[in-house]
Amino acid sequence: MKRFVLIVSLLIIFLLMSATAQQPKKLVFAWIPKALNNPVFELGRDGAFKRAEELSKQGPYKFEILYVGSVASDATEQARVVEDVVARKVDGIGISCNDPTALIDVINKAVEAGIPVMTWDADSPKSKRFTYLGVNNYEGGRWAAKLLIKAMGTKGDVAMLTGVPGALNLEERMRGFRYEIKGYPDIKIVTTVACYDDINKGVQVVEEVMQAYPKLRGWFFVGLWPLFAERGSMPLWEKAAKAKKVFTVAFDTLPVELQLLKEGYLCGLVGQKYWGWGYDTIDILYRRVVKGEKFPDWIDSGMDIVTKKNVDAMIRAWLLKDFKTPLPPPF
Amino acid sequence: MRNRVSRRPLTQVFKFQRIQEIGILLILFILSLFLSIATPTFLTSTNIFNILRAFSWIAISAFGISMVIITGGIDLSVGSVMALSGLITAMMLRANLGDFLSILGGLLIGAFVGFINGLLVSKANLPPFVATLGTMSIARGFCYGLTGGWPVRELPRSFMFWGQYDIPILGIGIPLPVVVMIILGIVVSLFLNRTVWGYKIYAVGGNEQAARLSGINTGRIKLLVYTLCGLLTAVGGLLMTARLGVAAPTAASGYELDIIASAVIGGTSLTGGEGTILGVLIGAAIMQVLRTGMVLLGFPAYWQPSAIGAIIILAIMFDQYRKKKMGLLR
Amino acid sequence: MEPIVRMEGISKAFPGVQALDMVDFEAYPGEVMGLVGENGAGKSTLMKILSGAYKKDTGRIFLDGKRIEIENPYHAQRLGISTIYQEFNLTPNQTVAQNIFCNREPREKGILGKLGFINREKMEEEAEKILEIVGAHVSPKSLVKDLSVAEKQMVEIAKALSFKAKIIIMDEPTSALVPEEVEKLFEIINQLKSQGIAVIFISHRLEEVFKIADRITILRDGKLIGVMKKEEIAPEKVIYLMVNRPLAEMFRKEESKLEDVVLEVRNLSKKGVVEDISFKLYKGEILGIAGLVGSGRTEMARLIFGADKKDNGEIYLEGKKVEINSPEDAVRLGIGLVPEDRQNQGLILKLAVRENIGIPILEKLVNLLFVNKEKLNSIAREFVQKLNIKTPSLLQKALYLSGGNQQKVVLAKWLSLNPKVLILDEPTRGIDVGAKVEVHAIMSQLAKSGIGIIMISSEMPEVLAMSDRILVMSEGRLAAELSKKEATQEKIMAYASGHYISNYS
Repeated sequence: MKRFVLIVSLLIIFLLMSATAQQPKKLVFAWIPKALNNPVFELGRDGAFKRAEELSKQGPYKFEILYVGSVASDATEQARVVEDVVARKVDGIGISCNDPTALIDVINKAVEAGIPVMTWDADSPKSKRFTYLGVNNYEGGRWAAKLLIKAMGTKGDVAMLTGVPGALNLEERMRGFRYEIKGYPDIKIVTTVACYDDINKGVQVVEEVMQAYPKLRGWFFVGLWPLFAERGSMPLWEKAAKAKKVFTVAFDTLPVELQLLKEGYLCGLVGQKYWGWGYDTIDILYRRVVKGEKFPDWIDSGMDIVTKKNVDAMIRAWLLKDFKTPLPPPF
Repeated sequence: MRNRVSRRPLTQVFKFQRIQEIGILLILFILSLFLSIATPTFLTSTNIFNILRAFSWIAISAFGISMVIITGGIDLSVGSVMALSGLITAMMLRANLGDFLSILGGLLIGAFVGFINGLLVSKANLPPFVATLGTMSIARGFCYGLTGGWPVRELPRSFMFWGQYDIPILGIGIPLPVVVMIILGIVVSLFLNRTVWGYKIYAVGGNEQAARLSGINTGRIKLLVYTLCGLLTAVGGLLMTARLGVAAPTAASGYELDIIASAVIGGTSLTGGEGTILGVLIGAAIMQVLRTGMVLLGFPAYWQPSAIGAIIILAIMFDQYRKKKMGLLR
Repeated sequence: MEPIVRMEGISKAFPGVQALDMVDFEAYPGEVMGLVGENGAGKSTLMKILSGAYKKDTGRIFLDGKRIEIENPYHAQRLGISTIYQEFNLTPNQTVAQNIFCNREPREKGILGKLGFINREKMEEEAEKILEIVGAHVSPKSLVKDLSVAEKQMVEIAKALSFKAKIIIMDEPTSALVPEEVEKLFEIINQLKSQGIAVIFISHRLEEVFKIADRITILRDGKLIGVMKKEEIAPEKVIYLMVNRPLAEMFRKEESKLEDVVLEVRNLSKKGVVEDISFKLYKGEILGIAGLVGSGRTEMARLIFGADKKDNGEIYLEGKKVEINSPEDAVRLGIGLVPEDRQNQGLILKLAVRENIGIPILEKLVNLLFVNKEKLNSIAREFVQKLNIKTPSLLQKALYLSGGNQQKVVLAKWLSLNPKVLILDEPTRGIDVGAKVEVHAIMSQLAKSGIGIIMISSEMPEVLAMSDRILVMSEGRLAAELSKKEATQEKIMAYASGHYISNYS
């Protein structure tokens, strides 16, 4: 019965597609984020639409982006979404995987059906995807350490705030951070706390660490969780940050953080190019599908390093939604 | 004929309750004592109020859920309701509807979700686990849908006052959420122990059939407790939102387990009919003291969940052992 | 001949109570030993020690002349000591065969069996054989929840036999059975006897004990009072020894004049349960409802009380038509129901005596916002004294009271409401002799005060002694209405079993 329904629906889709086949050739790329509930992916989506628009103008093809995914991060649900777009016979798929192994099967099925698949942000290395566009989190962690040392000097106690312990990207960032800190024997990482990606818990543990380590000089927020909270919610940290007793470097470059950086609460940000997740992915898919180009196994998506010096340029980029102009140097 | 009827039943009530809760109170005391000795910061007023504030919204929601659990039910939607009520208030504030209306709106949405839970359980006869699992997902979906995933920020200071203001009493600043928690604790406790409704809540949980055959409208009682649970949870959600100054659609994910755990550690029986508000308060305090204590001790983040789990199990085992010894359990 | 079991000098103390004090007990193979005593006399404790549920403090137990220590109930079963409790230890959602062989299921041959695979055919075959010995006509494949009470009991006996039981303890085996079923049980017991099995028979229904037992052991307040052979048994003497006081044979209600109708039921029907029931209840009357289990008596009571939904029918209270759609409505109108299953339906065991008594009248005790605890206390205290409820305090959980006292709490609950009509479903089931008389006295007093009482009972002497009129139900219909004068045990039985149905219209 299920199979019958599937065949009938495929048939209908086929008929519909042949009916529209007379118009100029249209290419459909599916751009699948980890979840629809995370705002950074919307920025990536905008980038994807932007590149599709540019390419359509350039001709001769029309490009369409399918922005689909599970509402919350869920590998099973995401696999179902991939099956759906394969059934719709898209021309290419760019996906950020919720789980490296859970998605191998559906990715391989898509590739076998003749649809090229690439991953971005989060990889599935053992699948048959043709490339991975991703940030080098390890390098990002090293950058964070460099920014922090530049601000606080080469001496003092440092704490790290992570999200869910064991999340690969976060661990990589911390590994890079630790590696860089090792060169400075007078800097000590005194504690690592976790907030389980929760703003409330993030605020709570930051304040607790501020109490437990009154001599703390530096913070590395491996994500931006507590920074979402309004001023007044972390009085101890805010006071120390304002008085330049504590220096904080955080990952990501969302407007909230840029504002805090501008006001002097933060001393540096290391950000992924969210916009590029979409823009570059569509570009790569286009070059692969239309031009038949080959790509290496991994493409570095690069990072934005933001300090007081170039924060205004970053704020402008957000305002104008123009992430194509390169940032001025941070130092 | 042995016909000894106590002449002093009121004092006995208090004695009895004290016996019920003394075990977990002792556990809380031992934990606090240990942390006071082991860390220089635990026994400072900043830290104590920090802890109290941190569990205030959990405890307020736990007051509500304990009523639900006393009737033999469960409410898994509390985490989502916390997030949704905070979000609705935040969105109304951003739409310049004013503090009063916005707060009312958030509270009503919480009560409304609770009311729907109550209807599903009492009228549609769904098992509470299933009904509230459904509303948990629906409410969370509304959070995502209404915001598109973005947190709602830049709330007015006058609203954040509720979460951030410290009332100066005798030179110490007592956080407003803590005061709200204590007032609500007293009110709910009086409600449960002194009003007709409270008596009926215990009766329904103790034996639903017998309660019904005694002329209690058990459906109405269930509707009441789920609605109150939604309302109290919304109060918690609003206080948390006011404290953080941001309403995130992902807020309070997984808090339902913390909230249920607080109630159960506090002696609320999952089979219904038993539980006190004082116990719930102590249960919530134990959970937060454990969490904060781990951070203050510098306990590795990776091992913290295991340590907290182990201590909770040991604490409950100790409490059970004590009750058995005193003949309070069979 | 050696006794199959001998217990010597058994003592057992619970906090605050010496439950057993140097009690001796024995039973021979092929003997039915009756065990009698008031509630709290120590019967259950003694049997729980024998069945491994409790550990004794002192004393020795010999099985077949060999001294044994019983570790736990499962150990007792393997030793050949099986118990059939009042509340059955069966899992309702499993089949009869699964229940009989629970934890000892015959395995498949070879490696499969070692892996835990069960030979279902063999299990069901063997279950069938055992069921045949018991004379139970149930399929081993049917689910326990679909069986009648009597059938469940037979399954329990079959289970005991499957353990090759040498001793079977029956704790109140007849309390949920109708007379024919009791007869059937006695046949089974006789059959067990003939196989050399010792049966220990505990019952509140003394006439049954006298009928089936070869000897009886009498306990009182944890002490052994005496052992009597069948020939020596004189009922008055036994009761005297049990309660240590002479007892009026059976409480008799004073007759009352039937003038004012308090409750009238017309054409009450519910499909497949009761059909077209009409009757009147007078003020001050006790209306006995007799009939077999399953004849629709309890169901009729629940319909009147609004606990179940009726298809048809009208109810008039003091001449006015009333709508009763829920127990809430019934209580508001002043109708109370003392249900058959008092532990599950009548009481909230987790709550204190005081709260149990106060439930229906809470609204009347409110001062502004709160329940007035002083008033609640005084009302609870009043009824505890009035009904002579034995409880250490008003705050004792109902769970810890004896059966008779629990029943008095249920009665007190309704009396606090000052009801117009009280429906009592099996008011004295499982209650000891002393408490039974007290409950009967209370009922009579209530009727005298003008309450109309409907009393459903399976105990014929109770029906005959307490009722002003008797309605007999059979298969969901009213089969007869008998006045006190016409009613005899034989007549009621005949109507109940459907013999005279055509004579009544």
